[in-house]
Amino acid sequence: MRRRGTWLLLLPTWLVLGMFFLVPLVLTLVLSLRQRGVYGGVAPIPDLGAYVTSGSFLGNYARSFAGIYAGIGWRSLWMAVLTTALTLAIGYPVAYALALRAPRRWKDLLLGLVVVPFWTSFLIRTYAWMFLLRTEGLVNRLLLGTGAVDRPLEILYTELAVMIGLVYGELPFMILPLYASLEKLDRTLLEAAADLGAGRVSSFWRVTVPLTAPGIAAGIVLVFIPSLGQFVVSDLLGGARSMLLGNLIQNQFAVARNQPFGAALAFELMAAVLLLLLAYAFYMKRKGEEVLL
Amino acid sequence: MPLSVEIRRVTKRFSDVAAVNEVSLDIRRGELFALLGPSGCGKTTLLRMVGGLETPSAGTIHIEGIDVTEVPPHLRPAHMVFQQYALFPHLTVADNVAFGLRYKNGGRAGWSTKVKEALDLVRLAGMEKRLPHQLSGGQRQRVALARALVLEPKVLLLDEPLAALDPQLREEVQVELKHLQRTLGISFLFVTHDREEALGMSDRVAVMRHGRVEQVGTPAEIFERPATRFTAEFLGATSFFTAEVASLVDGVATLRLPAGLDLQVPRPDASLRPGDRIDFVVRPEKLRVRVERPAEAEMAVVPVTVEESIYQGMGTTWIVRGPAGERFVAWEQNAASVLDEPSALRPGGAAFLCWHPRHTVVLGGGGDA
Amino acid sequence: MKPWILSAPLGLLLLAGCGAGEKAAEAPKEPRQLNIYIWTNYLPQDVLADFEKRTGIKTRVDTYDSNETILAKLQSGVADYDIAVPSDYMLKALISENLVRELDRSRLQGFENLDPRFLNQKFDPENRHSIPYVWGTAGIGYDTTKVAAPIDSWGALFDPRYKGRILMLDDAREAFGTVLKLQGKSLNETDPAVLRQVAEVLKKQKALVRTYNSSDFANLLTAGDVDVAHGWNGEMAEAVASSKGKLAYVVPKEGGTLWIDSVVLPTSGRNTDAAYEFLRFVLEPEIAARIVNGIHYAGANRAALPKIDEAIRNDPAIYPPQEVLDRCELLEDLGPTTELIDELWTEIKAAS
Repeated sequence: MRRRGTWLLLLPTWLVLGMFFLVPLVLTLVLSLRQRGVYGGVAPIPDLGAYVTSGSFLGNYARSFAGIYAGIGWRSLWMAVLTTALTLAIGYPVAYALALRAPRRWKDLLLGLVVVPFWTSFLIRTYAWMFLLRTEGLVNRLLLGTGAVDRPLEILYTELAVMIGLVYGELPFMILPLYASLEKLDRTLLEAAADLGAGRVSSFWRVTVPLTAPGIAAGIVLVFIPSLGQFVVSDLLGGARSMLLGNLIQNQFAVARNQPFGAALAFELMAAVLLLLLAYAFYMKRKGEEVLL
Repeated sequence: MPLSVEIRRVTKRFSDVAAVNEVSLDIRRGELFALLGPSGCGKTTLLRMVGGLETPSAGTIHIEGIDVTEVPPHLRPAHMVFQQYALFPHLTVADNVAFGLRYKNGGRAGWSTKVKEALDLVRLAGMEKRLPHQLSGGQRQRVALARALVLEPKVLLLDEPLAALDPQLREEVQVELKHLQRTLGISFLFVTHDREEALGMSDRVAVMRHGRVEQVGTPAEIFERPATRFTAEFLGATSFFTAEVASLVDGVATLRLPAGLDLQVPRPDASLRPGDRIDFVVRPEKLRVRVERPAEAEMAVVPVTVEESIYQGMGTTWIVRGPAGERFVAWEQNAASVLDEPSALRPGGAAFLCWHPRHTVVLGGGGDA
Repeated sequence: MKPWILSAPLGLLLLAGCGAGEKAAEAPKEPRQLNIYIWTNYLPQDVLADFEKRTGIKTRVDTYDSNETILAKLQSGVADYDIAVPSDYMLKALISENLVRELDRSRLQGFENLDPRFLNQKFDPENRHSIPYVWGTAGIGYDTTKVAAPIDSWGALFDPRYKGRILMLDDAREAFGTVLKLQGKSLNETDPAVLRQVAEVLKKQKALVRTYNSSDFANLLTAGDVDVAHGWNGEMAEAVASSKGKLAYVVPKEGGTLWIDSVVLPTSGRNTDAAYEFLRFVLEPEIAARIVNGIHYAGANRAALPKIDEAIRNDPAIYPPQEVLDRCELLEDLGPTTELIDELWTEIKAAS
């Protein structure tokens, strides 16, 4: 009786998880094991036995490891790592200043400014970067006007533009968890460190950083994962050679009509993300911290 | 006697408020010195200025004869034990204790010996690998002590060292801290709002109020001879009297109470002049409440009405009203069981409040509370 | 504009809308609905407003920027568009995949207004499924102040002098077409060896290309982000016309793409009556002329010609002279070769 009661209570959870997570996942997996039809869709499998034994069902995965696609995978990974590193490098000082240096009455306003971009669609904000970065855009006009450069910089439609867009878009997701953990930081620990002889730099590395490690980890996860699957920024700001994994997947579904291949790529991306999340959860468990995500 | 810490006219202002106002204090070498006062009296700010965590707005601080007013905390021969200990939660006991060693001269080589010695000193041998959250409150405090002491300070600063401990532990830790201080022979400067703690632990006490030092003295001095009404009250005295100096003869002052009673007080304040209006206080445990007027001629006696008695086991507190409705409090030890010798006093009944004149403490200025 | 992004929220609205449509069948008082899937910049806002006003039909417009997207979307089975406007070769594919309805000619007035030159084409031999809407060419738009001499060849898109200043249509068939035409071959080449070799040329070309874009190409040229842009004539003509002679559009001498975009009724659509009303509406010469005036693409409606602005009617970029048309070729459905082109195009786009 009790058992059945528990089951009933968990039912909605299972339903939601099943409908919005498990079923799509299984569908994606099944799709990824098939082959495309001439105009798209999936080709019928005449002989299932032969299809399985010949290894054809892994064809899409095999193809995904071909040089050209693996190259995109590496580039996406590299871009995501770089985005994460840059957002951390920019976000940490900002979060630090917000949490520990800003006067109390300014704090809410400053924190609000970090969140304000969320009021506008990410897409529109990325479009705004197009107008800033284009050949005759605001940045170039400013640089030309001040004489800083004598010919316009080609920023838009380069990997640099993608990087700018990614870092810009992901920055709040780095700042917020960092702020939360820096805010929680017991300031007397910094005083204790100072009292024991640590200068500002030493105290930062030996006390502040280790104690805000959970925030750093959360920020890394929150930034790295979306960056890895990002396709809007690279599509709008990227040029001929800025294709990322996200674009490749989107392309397979929207234009190239190779849904099975797209599904295989999406599945690989998900697996990579899942591994990262597991590593994160393991790390937090070991630290005895609550897993935030 | 050589001085460990000299505080000279130190003022600390936060925006417009002076948290510490022109304080001067001398702390001798090897002394256990308490800064006592209610919260907001400036005692913690003063301690933090000695530690270098705050910079004085004015005045100077010398430690061991060296002006450290502008010296950063880690370059002062003074280290702090924080109220909540401020142990680094991500470091083991040993790493916490070793934290400051790398900033000291001398190589890594001596670290482990020093850490071991410090942990032995606070009886934490074998706890090296524990993390702070695996320790009890008392153990954490001892780690904090070891972490400061391993740096061999000349002055150890302690912010409310007993406040975070369970009440039953406090007495034990008091003894331990005193013992430690005697062993090391360095001076301890600590902050407390608890008078028992200040009296029980320190060699000398500075009572602070509104950023100023109200009185400095040995525990007995500040307890028995409070200079001001504030100090008296803070140390638990509540019976205040006003009187006029009727005469001064041969070191004996005759004080006249409003009710027309005279009492003879030996060793009066040198500054007293006949005709002065003065305040004096008598500590509760020096006061007696009697149904009969006491026979001894020299006893000071004030007729009162009993308002309330509070039985507290070890003693009984009597709240009585004087002729003009003044409120006095007496505390009497229950030397005999009240079951064997029940008191004859009843609330509402008339009685006599009496004390030996030598317990009369004439208060000085600043007693405006 | 990258309409696939914008179409995501619109798609959701559509999904919400289809529920409402079903209800409408039971309670006819609710406004009727028409879901239109069309190229970016293909339907002037005021024309659409007039249609709504006249018929009382609520329209929802969703846009795309490649033929491949229409196929993908209609194949997915989740879209329920009542109207779509694919190009020639894709129309053929849609017909062979049974994704569009056969038209009931008796419900169409004004069919006779259409220019016979655009009827009965290979992709729909008897126009059983489609009505030609607009037509045009693909060529090169360029900034005359940034090039040494007037451009007249596809070779300009492969000219190292314009490195980093070249825009290519983000469209497999059009991109392959540039190389095929340069090599004197048909746009509809199906020899895998030739196509692979073309793909290699396009991969090498990437070093010169600033970006691939099918929806915003004329704006990028106007904004100065690129100097030489592969594109379709309509938007190019508009950009050229407003550039005061700075920009020019040319159909290269090797020959270009002739394309015809036709209106079709996808089988997944639920509002057939409303769709026929829309077809009758756009067949009206008056409306057809307003569409051409609004979008700067040549219309297939012969009766509308006198009502079209003179400037547009006489613009050779929009209504090219016959000798230009003579060197243009229609894209055809390549059947099984489609798969190879998709794969090669993916490789080209993915190459670094």
